[in-house]
Amino acid sequence: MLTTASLLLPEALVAVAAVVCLFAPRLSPLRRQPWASVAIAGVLLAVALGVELTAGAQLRTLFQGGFTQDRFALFAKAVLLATTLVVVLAAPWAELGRPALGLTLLACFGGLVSASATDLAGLWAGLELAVLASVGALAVREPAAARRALLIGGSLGALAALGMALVAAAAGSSELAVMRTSLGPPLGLPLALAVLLVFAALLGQLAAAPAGGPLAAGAAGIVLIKFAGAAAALAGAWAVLIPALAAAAMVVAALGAVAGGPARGIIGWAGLLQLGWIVAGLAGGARLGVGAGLFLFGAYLLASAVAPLALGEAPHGLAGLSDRSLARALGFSACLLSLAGVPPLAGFFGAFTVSAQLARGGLFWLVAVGFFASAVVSFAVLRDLRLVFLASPGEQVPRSSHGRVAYGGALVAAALLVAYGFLANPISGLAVQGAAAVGLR
Amino acid sequence: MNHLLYLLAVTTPSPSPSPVSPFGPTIIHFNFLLSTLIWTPVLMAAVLALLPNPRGRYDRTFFQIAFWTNASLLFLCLVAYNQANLFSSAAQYEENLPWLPALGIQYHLGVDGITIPLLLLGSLIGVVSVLASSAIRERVREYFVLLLLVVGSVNGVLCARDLFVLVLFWAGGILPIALLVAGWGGPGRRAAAGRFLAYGAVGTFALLAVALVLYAATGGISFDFDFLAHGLLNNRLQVVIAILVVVAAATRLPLVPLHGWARDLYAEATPGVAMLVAGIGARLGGYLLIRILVVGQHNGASLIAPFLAALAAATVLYAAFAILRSRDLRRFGAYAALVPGGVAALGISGMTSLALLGATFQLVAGGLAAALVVGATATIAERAQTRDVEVMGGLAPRMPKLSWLFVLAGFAVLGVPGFASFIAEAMTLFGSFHNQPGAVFVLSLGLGLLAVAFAFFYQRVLFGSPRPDSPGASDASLGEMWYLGLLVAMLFWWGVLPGGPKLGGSVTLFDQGIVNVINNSSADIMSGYSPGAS
Repeated sequence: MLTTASLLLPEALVAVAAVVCLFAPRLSPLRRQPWASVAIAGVLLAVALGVELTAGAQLRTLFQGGFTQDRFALFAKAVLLATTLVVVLAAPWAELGRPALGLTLLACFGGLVSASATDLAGLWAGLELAVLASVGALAVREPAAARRALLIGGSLGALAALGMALVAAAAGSSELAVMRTSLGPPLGLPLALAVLLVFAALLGQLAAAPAGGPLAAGAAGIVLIKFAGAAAALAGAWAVLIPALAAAAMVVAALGAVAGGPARGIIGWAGLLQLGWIVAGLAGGARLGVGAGLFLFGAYLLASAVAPLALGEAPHGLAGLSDRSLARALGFSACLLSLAGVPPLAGFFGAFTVSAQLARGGLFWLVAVGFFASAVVSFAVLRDLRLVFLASPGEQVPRSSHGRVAYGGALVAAALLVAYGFLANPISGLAVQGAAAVGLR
Repeated sequence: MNHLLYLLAVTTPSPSPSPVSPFGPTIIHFNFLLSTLIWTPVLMAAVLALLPNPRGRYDRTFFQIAFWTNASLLFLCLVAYNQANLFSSAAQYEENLPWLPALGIQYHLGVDGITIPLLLLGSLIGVVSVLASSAIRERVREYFVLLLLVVGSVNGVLCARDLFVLVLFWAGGILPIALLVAGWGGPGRRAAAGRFLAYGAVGTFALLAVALVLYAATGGISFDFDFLAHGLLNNRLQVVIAILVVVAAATRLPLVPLHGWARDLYAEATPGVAMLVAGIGARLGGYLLIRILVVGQHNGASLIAPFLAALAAATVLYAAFAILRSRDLRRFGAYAALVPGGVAALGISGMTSLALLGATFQLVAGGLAAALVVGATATIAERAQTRDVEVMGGLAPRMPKLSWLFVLAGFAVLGVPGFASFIAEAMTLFGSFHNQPGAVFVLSLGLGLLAVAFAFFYQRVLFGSPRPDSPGASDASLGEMWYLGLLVAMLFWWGVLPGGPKLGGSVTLFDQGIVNVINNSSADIMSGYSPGAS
């Protein structure tokens, strides 16, 4: 009983934190202490992460097989909880409001549901919960952007549901374990199209991370890898498409980064580059490649989640950000450099891991495209970081009004991005075990 | 608990396969000498970055912390050099921990006779670089943070025994150097930093390609040097790898035509940064050629040796002609600093034990000479308040100490007897003549031309008649004398006693001799080559 409880405790703690934050304005003890909600959320998330890292090592299923705890779930949940914790620490909740905090925690909960789901319905439900909660959090501050995100997220969610339904119909079951055994060659055109539809929808959700929120992207990544594991026998359907898609993402990212644009634009382009690397990891449909992609995915999620928060409002662009707040500038730089794959940050370790697997599979052309795109994006990132540290905003700009906790969050994110690569042994090993757990060989 | 036990298991060092006893068995009992050399400056950089510094109150403290950090590294390197096993070419002071087991990447460190003198050089240059940076007044904390990161990355490259670890440190040092130039350099600092970044990126991607091609070609099992060196690759693949290694090395050493960053960086960076890059940063290119190409790819190295020798000769000739045309004192220093790299590359292409011994010694002596010439020109330019040679003239009576240091720097670059670079160049040229006679001839011609160029330059700047319109000049301060004099002293020491001082002709005193330290490893590396390999 205690073991079962410990397995579900992280989800329970996140759900409690979400409810507390959503209803905090109506709870009299918390009404006059806005920081209390953040503190409660932070503590509960830290406890959830600790419980996941200790009790999550066991392999069990619950609810007649509806919930599973395996190495993939352990990795995915740990990454999601760590990212959410850093987001909670780094975001200016006084400006965003407590409902946004609650909805962010709800998005994390959706991702946790997907990580432990054993059938397509569970995967989809978790994903949609994460997407809708992220859109809700965005709506608190930017209603117009939220409407666009809702339209895009809803459409992609519908496409994913349609594709999943077709694949489930072909397999005769929506359970992932059954799909692994029943799906296989010969691959008919309708089934290939259905698989590609799911991939396209999930990749779209991932690419929409800058607009839809990092936790929705996290959930989409989790669903993508679990789906790839269940349909691994059909890898032929995406064996050609995925490398091409990865290369296209990398090239577009390089072109976009060179073209420049608003201050936040570079985050999106560098993120797209790293998504290209992650997708490249799926190319072979093999355990080590997907494990490498999963390892990189953790780095991507953390960096793409924290970069916009560290940048904050930038009415003066990037110029002089370090004068306004050195901590935010350091956090922003670490995130951007990691997304671009600059050593020795987490993104470099992940991209190198993926490229080693691609080289082992003979995909040298994709490695070359990736290296070239990484070089271009790195230059664009350094061009922008020069503004952050060396350029003057041209007028007297007030120092940032972020609280100390937000500064600390940005610094914690930078430290994590450095430590991620140096602790690659347990993290990468766990990612490879996670890839094996979803059925990849 | 399981996770904690697992973490404990993977972070506990495995027993060293090295036959050599742990570091300083009679002095200090610990097995993490190399990690200490790498991570101490990084850790101190992190500490400096986090220390409060209201209105620059602790700027002097940051300087002192950086100095003592480098001084302690120098002490550790001296002990390591003194304790090095002269009779073994195996890796010493080894550390081996699993890092990315799924890819066969290990945190594998180790040094041999090739590496230990370079580590000593790096730590000496680190101290000199900090001393040369005592005049930094703006953003002092950030400056020394970046400087310490560069020192850590240099040590990482030298100690790595795993190709991934080497690539990581190789690439990790580029950004801090570029930021040091961009943030504290002269008027053309941004262009200099941009060029260095661009060439650094080319070199890094070439090295990454080497790593991945070698990894895939040897079965995708490990990035360990020892494993990769024993892979059976066909000649075509070895040549591809050799070309990529030469490209990576040529961007750093630098060799013509991939030398574009050097002129700007050495001329625009602060004296401390220019000396750090010229003294040890650039020497890593030569080290890379030895460690990856000569040790691991015998056929590839032999086939590409004439090409490498041609690049080496072209580099020295280019430097000589460029100096003849130079009108900028700091650019003079920059061109002169190219010469030791060219000579070392010739030795590496010589494919004999003597040539490799000379090349390795030249990396050390040439590093000292390059740092000296770059540092001396930067200091003179600061003291004379101009870099323009046309405005200078008759500086010797006004700054006698600096003038003599400048002359000695030129002698060191040329390899005049009495300097360590003389012995290194002699071994290189004699050792390379058998396999690369044409390149040896052209390079010797270039050195002769260089001597003429130096003579003209000295006559014009130091000993000519003073210009009435030249700005006021002052001689070197005590601090400048210290760090430039230290380099001269080391050049003399190894020039006069390359085999170390002996008591009664046999008992080794405190220095067991740099040539003795290098010799066993270079002979062992070349034992895999047939005589007249190229």
